[in-house]
Amino acid sequence: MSLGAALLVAVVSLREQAHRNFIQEGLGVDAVLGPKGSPLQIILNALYHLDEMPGKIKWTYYEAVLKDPIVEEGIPFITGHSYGGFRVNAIAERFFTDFEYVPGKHFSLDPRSGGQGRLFAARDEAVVGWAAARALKLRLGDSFNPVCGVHSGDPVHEHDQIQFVGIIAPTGTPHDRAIYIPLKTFFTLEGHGNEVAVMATDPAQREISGAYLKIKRIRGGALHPDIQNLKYTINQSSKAQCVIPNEVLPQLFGIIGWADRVLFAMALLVSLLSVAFLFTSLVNALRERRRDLALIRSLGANRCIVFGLIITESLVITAFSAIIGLVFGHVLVGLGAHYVDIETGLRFSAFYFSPLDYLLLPVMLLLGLLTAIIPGIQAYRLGVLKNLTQIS
Amino acid sequence: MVIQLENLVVSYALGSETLEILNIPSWNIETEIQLAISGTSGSGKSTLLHVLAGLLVPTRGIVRVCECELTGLGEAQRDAFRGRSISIIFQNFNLLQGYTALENVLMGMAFAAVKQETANARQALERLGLGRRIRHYPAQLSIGEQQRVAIARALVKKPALILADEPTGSLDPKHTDEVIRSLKEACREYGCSLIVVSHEERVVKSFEHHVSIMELNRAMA
Repeated sequence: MSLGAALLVAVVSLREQAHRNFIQEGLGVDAVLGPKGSPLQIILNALYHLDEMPGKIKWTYYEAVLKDPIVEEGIPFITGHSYGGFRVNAIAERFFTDFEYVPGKHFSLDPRSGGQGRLFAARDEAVVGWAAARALKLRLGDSFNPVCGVHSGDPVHEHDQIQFVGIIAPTGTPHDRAIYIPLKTFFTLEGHGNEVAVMATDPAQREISGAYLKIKRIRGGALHPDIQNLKYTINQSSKAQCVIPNEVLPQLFGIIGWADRVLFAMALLVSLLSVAFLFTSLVNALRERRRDLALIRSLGANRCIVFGLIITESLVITAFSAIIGLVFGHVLVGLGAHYVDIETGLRFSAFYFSPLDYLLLPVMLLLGLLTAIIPGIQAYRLGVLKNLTQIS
Repeated sequence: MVIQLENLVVSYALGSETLEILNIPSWNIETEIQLAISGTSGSGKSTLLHVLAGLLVPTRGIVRVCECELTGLGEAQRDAFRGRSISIIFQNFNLLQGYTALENVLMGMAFAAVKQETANARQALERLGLGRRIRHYPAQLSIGEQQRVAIARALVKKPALILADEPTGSLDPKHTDEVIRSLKEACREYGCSLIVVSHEERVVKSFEHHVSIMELNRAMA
């Protein structure tokens, strides 16, 4: 029973925290301006550093979008490079000063928060997310040659050595698993050819992967309602598309949610099996203890006391199981959180309490009560003489 | 009045026939007594004990035990009466295997009128020579010791009447004498009446007062 309860607690806690991380906060991005293609692909690439951008957009178009009265700010980025299995994104410096990865929270290099060093200032400098730094065992002063692509075997920019000058404090977001270089560095990397090199000096020629857009708020903190008009206008053009994470992320969650549903179903199955096991245990135990119960009756206990003993036994078992399951479930989340953090940069807390945590004990007690009723009735109807004595 | 039986009949339906097990027109025991009831197997002596303990409701008749008319009581009231006034000792001891000797004796007080005190339980065990066995489980005790634990459990609640059903049925002669002596002495000390049912002549004759079930039971006549 404890195992079933622990699995339920862990699965529900992870699911709710994942929902909170993925959907509710939207990773601080109101909208992503990206190339034409799959909106989900754009979100995966822009926010989760997965997959690839389906193309590029013109810098001039990005600047045009910035002029829209509801767009408060835009942070352009270029994806498509990697190092040691982690994405290397070229991004505007404002990402680290202005961008809020969750409402009210900016990136930090402050050692008190777990950061180190400083922000990049020169073209051959980079900052790295906390999880990527830890996984690659990076230290300040280390340098690397970015890979031109995100697949193993992609060419390396042999002559472009970039030094890590900062490690970003943990944010609990996928940004912890990326490496960031200045936007202009991308245009000057060797091997990109003159076409790209020109972009460094001529914004009219420049192409980017996309941009994070911050949309103005209306009273009450809600997004400006004209965001839908902006999205419609951009999407009607042939040059780019506007993707709103909070619209796409639920689809993403729906796609990956099957695993979570399978886990939940398994946990539920384990719990139900454990209830069935408790029932058979009680019935079997009753069979073995008929003589003991008859003895208690002979000592003066009435039928209700014997019934109460069986019910109490079941309630004590389920209460202990629920408590152990609760503790063990949160320990599981804590252990799992460590690996999820390393693998995805997403933060899960062992101390997150879902409504299930508060319902678990009363629900399990109710199940324990229902489970014990039949064995309790059997104990209630137990014949004292039949089970205790031999007629002589 | 310790025991008063009037027109007691216990019978069972056996198909279309009725099988009479007990038929005692009258039987009275007025004062505190130590009595043995003898009889062969199937003569109804255990049935009589179960009726006196309130475990079995007679088909007819009046049963008064320790000034309480059992035939007028419901099951829960009979349970309460048994918890308060009667202790039963069984042939197979009926100790709870998962509990120590001390816990088994404490169980004897759980449904009684007396307060459940460890000191009293310990004292009862010491009184029966089991002072060094109080933390032992039944499986760790000899047969004689197990029966003495059962006696301690019966005595500790200070009942008015102890009913012992073949208490030495599983014992060898040496242990039989030891257990019967302990039982009689302890009942005398605790001031409770004792009725022992036994088919063993050795046991019956060790009692000053004894009666054959055949003398009482017309069903067997």
